[in-house]
Amino acid sequence: MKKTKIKTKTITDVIKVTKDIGDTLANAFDDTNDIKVATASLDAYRTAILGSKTQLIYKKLTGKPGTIPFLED
Amino acid sequence: MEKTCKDCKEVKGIDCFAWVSHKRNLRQPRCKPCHILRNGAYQKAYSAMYHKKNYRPSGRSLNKKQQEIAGEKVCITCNILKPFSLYSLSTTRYKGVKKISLRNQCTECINKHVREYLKDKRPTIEFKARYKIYSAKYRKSSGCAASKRWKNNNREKLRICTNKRDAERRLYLLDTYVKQSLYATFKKTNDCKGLDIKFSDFTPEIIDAQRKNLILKRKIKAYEKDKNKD
Repeated sequence: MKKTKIKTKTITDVIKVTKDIGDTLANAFDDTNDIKVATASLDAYRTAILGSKTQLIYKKLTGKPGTIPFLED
Repeated sequence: MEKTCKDCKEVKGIDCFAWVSHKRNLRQPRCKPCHILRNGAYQKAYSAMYHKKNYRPSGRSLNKKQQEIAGEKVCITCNILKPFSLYSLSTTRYKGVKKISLRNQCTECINKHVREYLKDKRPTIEFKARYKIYSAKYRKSSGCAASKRWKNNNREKLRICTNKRDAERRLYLLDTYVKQSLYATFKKTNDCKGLDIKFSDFTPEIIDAQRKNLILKRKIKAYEKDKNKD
């Protein structure tokens, strides 16, 4: 089986991936009604929000568009 | 059984007199119609007296409801009861809802106030001359008429513009709650202190994530409620 690689180079990729994880887990919660799954999806969304928050703060502090070099390396 | 009335002095059957008490077997000294007449006159006189005493025409003792029923209102400045026709209307907005009500000052008082205010601010000769030139230019170009003409000729363009504006407004209204919640979460932590973060800074991705987060939270709450009920 081939494993699909998920690229998380930039902060935007991280946000996208975490959001996707949250979506899949939310769909799973609709099917199973398991609160553990729901809390996990909430955490995923929270990380996405935190990522965008860091992007915003960095943008505000440096005045540059939203790419963080230390995350790209 | 018969009894003589105190007012009309006629002899009438006892059923024509109202009861005072059944226990003591006592009835009114006046017959029913006389009693009503006397009572009504007394009440009228008393109410007029009470009204004179308590509801001064110059005072603010009248409630808003009483004023509305009477169709009159007390002016704040001159303290005189005046009919509604002497007040101008004012429109206010609270949470997007339009409210029309009467002004607290009558038109006379407002005009007086405006005249006093404009005493020292009368337009100078220079201003008048400039205004004349401007008005002549405006008439020549017929700005108002031109805009109306344009609206009549380009109705489709206008419709598209209004639709676009309405869609933007709706979107803004949709996202306001999410943006406010995001703003609150940003403010909770001290990371964003000193930074001017506005609603326009939030990217659509972060708004989408927050919306989904809120929806999920609500779902969990509802699920827990149902569970507790069972």
